[in-house]
Amino acid sequence: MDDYDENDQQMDCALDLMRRLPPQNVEENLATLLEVMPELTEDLLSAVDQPLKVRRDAKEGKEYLVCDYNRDGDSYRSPWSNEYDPPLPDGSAPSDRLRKLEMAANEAFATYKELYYEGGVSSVYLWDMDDSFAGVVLIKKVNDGTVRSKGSWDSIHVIEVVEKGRQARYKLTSTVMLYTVASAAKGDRLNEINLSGSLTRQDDRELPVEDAAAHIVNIGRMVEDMEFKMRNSLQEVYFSKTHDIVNGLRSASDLNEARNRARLQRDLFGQLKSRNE
Amino acid sequence: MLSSKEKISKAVQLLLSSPPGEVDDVFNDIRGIVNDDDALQEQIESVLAESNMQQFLVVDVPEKEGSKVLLTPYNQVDGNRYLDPNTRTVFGFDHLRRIASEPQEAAEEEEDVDNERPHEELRGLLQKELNSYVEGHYPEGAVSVFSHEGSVVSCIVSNRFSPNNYWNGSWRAVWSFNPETKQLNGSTKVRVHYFEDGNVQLDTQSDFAADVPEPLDPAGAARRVAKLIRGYEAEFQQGINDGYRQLADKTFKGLRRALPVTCSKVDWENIANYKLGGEIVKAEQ
Repeated sequence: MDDYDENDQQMDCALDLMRRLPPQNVEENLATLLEVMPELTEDLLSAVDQPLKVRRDAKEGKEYLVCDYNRDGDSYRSPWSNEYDPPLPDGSAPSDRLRKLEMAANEAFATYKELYYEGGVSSVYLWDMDDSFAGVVLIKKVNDGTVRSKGSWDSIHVIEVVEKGRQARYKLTSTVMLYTVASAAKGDRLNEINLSGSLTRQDDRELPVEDAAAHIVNIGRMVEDMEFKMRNSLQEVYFSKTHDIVNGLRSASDLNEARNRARLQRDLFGQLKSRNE
Repeated sequence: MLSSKEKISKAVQLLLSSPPGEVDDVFNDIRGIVNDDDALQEQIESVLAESNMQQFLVVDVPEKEGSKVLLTPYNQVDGNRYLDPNTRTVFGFDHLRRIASEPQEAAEEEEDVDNERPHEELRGLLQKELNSYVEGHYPEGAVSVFSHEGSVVSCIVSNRFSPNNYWNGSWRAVWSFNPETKQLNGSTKVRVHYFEDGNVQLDTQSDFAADVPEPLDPAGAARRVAKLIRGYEAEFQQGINDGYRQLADKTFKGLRRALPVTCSKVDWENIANYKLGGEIVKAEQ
C-alpha cells in the first residue's frame, strides 16, 4: 500500500513538472524523469505526450506515426500492414473484427487529414477493452518550408468507447502540440522566437450506433468538432494571450508620459469643477 | 542505472529550467519525486542560488528602507553574500528561505575587483539614467548597475506573475559597458508561461553589441549608454511583435486550414466519395 502511494505522488509530481518545464525540451525532460524514476517507465511513457515520430512501412510504401499506443516492447505496429517493426510474431494486435474497423478508420482519417492539413501523416490504432474498445487518432503536420519560420502540429485524440446496445458512449481526450519558431536575421546573428507547447481538452457524447461504420462517423465528427475548437483556442492562447503578456512586461511607449497626461487631466478637471461651483 | 545521488543531482538540475515565478512549484515537484529531504537538502542550496541569480531575484536591502537590489553573478561577493552598490551594503542571503540578513557596510575590496572604484561616478550616473528609463517602460521593473571586472554592468528585470490565471512572464536584460574598449554588449531574454489545460511557453532572446560614441566623460557615457539601451530594447520588442505576426499569419495557417477547401465540414457518411473527388479537384487546380 505504501509503495502505491509513493508511486502516485511521484507520478503527480512528474506530470506537474511536465506542465512547467519548457515544452521545447519535452523529450529531454522526459528522458531525465525516466533516469530518475526508472521504476515508473511504463506509466510515464503512457501518460506523457511526446511529439509524434514518423516511420515508413516498407511493405505498404506508406508512412505511419508512432507513439506508446502502437508500441510493444521496442517494436511499433504499422496501421497499414498490421505488422511490427522490428518484427514481433506475438505482438499485441486488435481482434479481427476490430482490425476491420481500424482499417476503415485509417482510410477515413487519411481523407480528413488531406482535407484539413493538405499533407502530413495520420494513423489510427484501436485496441480491445473489456466493455468495448478504445483507440487513438494521430495526425502530424510539419511545415519547415521557409527560412523565416517553421512549425509542427501534432494531434493526439484518445477515445474510449462503451457500447450499450444501439447506443455508444464516447469519451474523447485530445491534445494538440504546436511548435512554432520565427527567425529574423540581424547582420551575422539569427534571432529566434520560439512559441511552443500543447493544450488538452475533453468531450463526452452518447450517440446512436446502427452498424460498425457508425463508429467512424461518430468518432470522425467528434474529432473534427474538437479540432475546430482547439484550433481557435490555440490561436487565442498562442498569438493573443502570450503576446499580451509580453507587452505587459514592457511598455513600448513611455509610461511617465501617460502618468503626466493623467495627472494633467485630473488637475484640469479639478480646476474646471472648482470654477463651476 | 544511476546511483541515488546521481538521480537526485539530475532531478535538482531541472530547477534551472523553471518558468518565471514557479521555482517553488518546481521545487515541490522535485521534492515529491526524490522523496528524501535530507539527501535533497545537500544538493539543492547551490542550485537554488544559481536559479535565483539567473532570474535576477529582487530583494529588499536589510535595514535600508526602500532600497532594493537584484541578485546576480555580478554583485555576488562570496558564498551567499551580495553587494548593493547604491547603499554600499553587503548582506547575506539564504536562498532556501529567501531571507536577507546581516547587513554590513561594504569594504573597499568588495565594491570593485579593481579596488579603486574608478567607475563609481559612471556607475552611479548610469544607475540614475536607468532608474528613470525603467520607471518609464517597465510597469513592475527593477534595475541595478554594478562595477564588475572593469566593466559597468546593468541588470534589468521585469516580472508579471499571475498564477491564479495560469500565467507568468519575465523580461531580463544584461548590459555590459567597458570604458576601456568603449564597447557596449547586451542580451535580453523573455520567457512567458501559460498553463491552463496545457503548457505553452514563449522563449526568445537576442544579443547586441555596439561602440559607444565619444565624448565619454562619466555623464556623457551614462547618457549615451542609456540611450543605446533604450533603442535596442525597443527594437527587440518590435522584433517580437513582428515575429508574432509572422507566426500567426503564416506559420500557423500553413499547418492546418480552418475548413477544407470545400468550405464545409467533412461529410463523414460519404467520406468514401472524397477519395474519388480528390482526384478531380486536383486535376482542376
